[in-house]
Amino acid sequence: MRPIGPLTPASPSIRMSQAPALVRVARTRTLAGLLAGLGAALVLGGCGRTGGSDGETAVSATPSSGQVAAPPAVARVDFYAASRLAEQASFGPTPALVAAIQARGMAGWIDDQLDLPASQIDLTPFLVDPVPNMDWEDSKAAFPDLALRAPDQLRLRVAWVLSQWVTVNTGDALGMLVFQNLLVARSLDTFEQLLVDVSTNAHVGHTLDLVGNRPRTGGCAACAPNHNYARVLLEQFTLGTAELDANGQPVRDARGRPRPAYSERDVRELTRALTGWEFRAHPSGGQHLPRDWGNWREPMVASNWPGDRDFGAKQLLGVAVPAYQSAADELRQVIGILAAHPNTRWRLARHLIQGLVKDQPSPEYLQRVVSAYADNGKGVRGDLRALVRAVLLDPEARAGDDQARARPDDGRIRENFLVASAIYRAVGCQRVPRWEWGGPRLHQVPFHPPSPRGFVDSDDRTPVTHLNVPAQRALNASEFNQRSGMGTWLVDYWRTRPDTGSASAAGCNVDDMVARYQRSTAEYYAWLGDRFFRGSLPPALRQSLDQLIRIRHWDETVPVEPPVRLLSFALLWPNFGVIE
Amino acid sequence: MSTRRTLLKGLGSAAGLGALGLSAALLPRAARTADADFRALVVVMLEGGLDGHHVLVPTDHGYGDYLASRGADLAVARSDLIDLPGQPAGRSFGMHRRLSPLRTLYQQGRLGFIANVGPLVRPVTAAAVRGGTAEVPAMLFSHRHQSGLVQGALDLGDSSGWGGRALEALPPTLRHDLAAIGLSPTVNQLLHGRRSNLALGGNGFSPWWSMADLRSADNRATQAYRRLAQTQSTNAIRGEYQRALSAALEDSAALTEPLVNGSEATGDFGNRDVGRQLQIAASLLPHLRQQGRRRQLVLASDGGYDHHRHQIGNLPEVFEQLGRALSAFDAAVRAAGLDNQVVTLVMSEFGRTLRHSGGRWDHEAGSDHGWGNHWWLMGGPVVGGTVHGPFPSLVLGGADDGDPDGAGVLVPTTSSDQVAAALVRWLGVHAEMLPEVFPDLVNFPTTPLPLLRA
Repeated sequence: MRPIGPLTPASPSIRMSQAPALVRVARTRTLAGLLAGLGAALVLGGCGRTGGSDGETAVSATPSSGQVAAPPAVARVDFYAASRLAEQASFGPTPALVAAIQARGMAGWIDDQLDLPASQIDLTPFLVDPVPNMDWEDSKAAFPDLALRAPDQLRLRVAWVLSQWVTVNTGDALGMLVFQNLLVARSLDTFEQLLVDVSTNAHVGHTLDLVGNRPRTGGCAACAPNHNYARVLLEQFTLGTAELDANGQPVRDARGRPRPAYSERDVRELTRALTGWEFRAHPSGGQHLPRDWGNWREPMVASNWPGDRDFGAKQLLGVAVPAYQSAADELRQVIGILAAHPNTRWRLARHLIQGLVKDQPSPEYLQRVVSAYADNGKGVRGDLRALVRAVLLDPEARAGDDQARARPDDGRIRENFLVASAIYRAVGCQRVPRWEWGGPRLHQVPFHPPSPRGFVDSDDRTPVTHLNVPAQRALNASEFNQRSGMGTWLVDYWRTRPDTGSASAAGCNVDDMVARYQRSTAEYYAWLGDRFFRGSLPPALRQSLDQLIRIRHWDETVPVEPPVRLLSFALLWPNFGVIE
Repeated sequence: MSTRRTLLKGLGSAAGLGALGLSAALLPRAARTADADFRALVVVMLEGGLDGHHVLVPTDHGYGDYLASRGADLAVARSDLIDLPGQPAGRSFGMHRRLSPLRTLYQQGRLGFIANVGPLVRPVTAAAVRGGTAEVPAMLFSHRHQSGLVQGALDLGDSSGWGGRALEALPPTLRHDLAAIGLSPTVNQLLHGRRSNLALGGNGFSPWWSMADLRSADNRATQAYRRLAQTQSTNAIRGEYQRALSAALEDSAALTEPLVNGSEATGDFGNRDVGRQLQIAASLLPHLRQQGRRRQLVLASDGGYDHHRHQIGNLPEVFEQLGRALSAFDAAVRAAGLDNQVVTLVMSEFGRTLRHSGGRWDHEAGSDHGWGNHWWLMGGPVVGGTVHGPFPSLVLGGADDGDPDGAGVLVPTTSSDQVAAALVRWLGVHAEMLPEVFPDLVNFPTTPLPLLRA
């Protein structure tokens, strides 16, 4: 059984997991990890800020030494810049997190984070029979709960971004959560290893029809190739549909139309190469929970019935795939071909940049991250850890740390889940509050997109301006209406169920916010500014809040209502809606 | 920059008022009267690739071909088909019995099928496609791209669709700012023009935003939201956010009244989201006509049609709910007196292979991504009770199979552009404007398809 992190440097050869590698990891953290995850209030004594826009950011490449003592060589990061990195690399700033970034410097904090062991969803509550009533809703809350409180914020944030790349259909809750744990565990491994493990995951095999993908044989009416997974692997997980040139731009034919990255023949050949997989049998005796019929915690295995497998030679994207390989060897080979294709690095680089830093990266920024994909400095291709580092520490990513140097194309639209997580983390929730019916109080639930293709289309262009800003399409009247009331969800719970309300049951604590509001508007504004606006409220927002306080369109008898109504209003402000 | 907001903003500022909630009152007098010249096109996109071979099936000699190609595990059993009246082009057809409300509409001449539709650059034969010599659209069989193609996508960097371009090509007297209404939470390219945006989006909108009732322009909380939407930014991404927020405020103020004043359309719209979307559409259309708007385009969608497996087991329940939603919408439109003013197109990004794809067991059969598919039209103006266009051969490797392996990938005989062109002409787009909307249409016969009554 292969342990999950602390991660060793990725091996140059692709590793094939022999076992599920999805045991729950005991959180034995290093001291550096503790510091990175929980912040370092004890060492730091508060989160003072330098005030100006001249924050000097540390981009030291020195890996974490694992020592607690604040490294004297690291220049202090100002509050604005530290909050900005927290917005890019976590599920929302908290005082402790901002302080940790300030203390460790940016590169130091990132390295600490990358060294933390992977948090995993506890599967125990789902290993029961009969399946409890709230099973489905609890499974939807599992990843968001982790995202709110786990110390390895950066890894989970990357997993959230990758979950919108490796999009997988829903199915049995246990199988889905095993897949989610896999994605978290592999999100800083090599991209090839991630894809090999995803491709042999039982939930993926079931929902994307790898199980049951067989050659046509006489005497087996049900046996037939199933193109689904091969097509998804090509179109979504690696190449994309349009061939890209040396600058990552679509190649066009003589008539100006984009040239396809692969042919239908490639889809058929890859389908053939992916034949022969089956759920792993339960251990002798075959006793298992009814819901675990796919043996979800175990990777799939090669079937030993010859009719399940197409042993012939294949040709994928012009590369020969020899006959009579084992299913596992052939899988490694074809994943290697796809991961080495130039399209994959361009698309993945853009996806990671758009998911973490900005929607409109310059060609130079993209190129630098693409180079990190090609070689992590140790000759390893597709090292996600190196990619994440390259994305976050690139000069273009950090330019906006100094507001005077911010570029007009900086920023990404903050998706709904990150709006909610920022609110919940700001008031210290330990897990996501629940709706009346028990589901998580979220409008965008990770791993549950409204369409199998994900929440957004990464190729999407904005109307009129034609910018590639994927999340813009989601910003419609329904979305804004819902966002306008996001803070108010908390109010209703305080008002209607003061003692047993789900917000308090989730560990949320708005007392501090309410007390500040009651003491003075200025103190409340300072809280709002620190938590959501990197240290200070935009002046125009402050004016609008002043006016709302004068008209008092709320129930004054409920102490929490005014500050939360104001919070809801403030969070529609573009300076929060866009992580700039 | 020109946006679809220009009119409302101009009127609003001229009157010294926020345009919110007052847009109808500020429309020109000629437009304010409930004009008889009202036409609305509603497009329902079935996402994932509806298997048209599960909807419309020949019941004559063609059923033998169908059964042989699909196999007993994927073919709709004869007993699950309800016969359609009449014999279009001498053929007999049945439809899946769980879509029975649609059979009633077919019988009434309010619903007609269009056989074997799909995106094409120019007419092609299956033999040329098999031989690799045909010019075909790029990146077929991809959900994303073929969905874009049937919505009118022209290129990777162009987010416009045929509906949005058509609205921009309408004569000025028919144009207005809120003509394209998106109710689907997942698709909307069809509605986007080159210079304009869509209204609403999603189906969870309301005039109440936290402290504000947006219909009331003098509500001070509403004013606070409007100030918020008007903050200036030099940052491009914030600019996008601002535009979207501003549009959402205006749309929510101008369009949501019928959803909250008790005049919502009633009926059994089924339990799927598409039913809710069509209920909203049925509620909004009379309101929009009342406001004096003359042309509307609405996009709704339903998901869950991508059945690589378990098709026989899962599709019937989906059909049941879809049938309810569509027939309830038709009834609501008629009840609102819009019988001859609303046309509904039901389409999908592609059809599916005739031959089954693999499953673990026999009963799990599904199908892979195909190309040509059967679409349908519904409403008073529709030439219904028939199947338009040549019905394809259902023989694997036969005359209409474009797949070199003979999996039964239908090569369309009618272009999706031809269908859409007939619909936008009905909306009022002049023939000479069609190349603006459908650049490839010049490769097809100029005679409009006879899908709608003149």
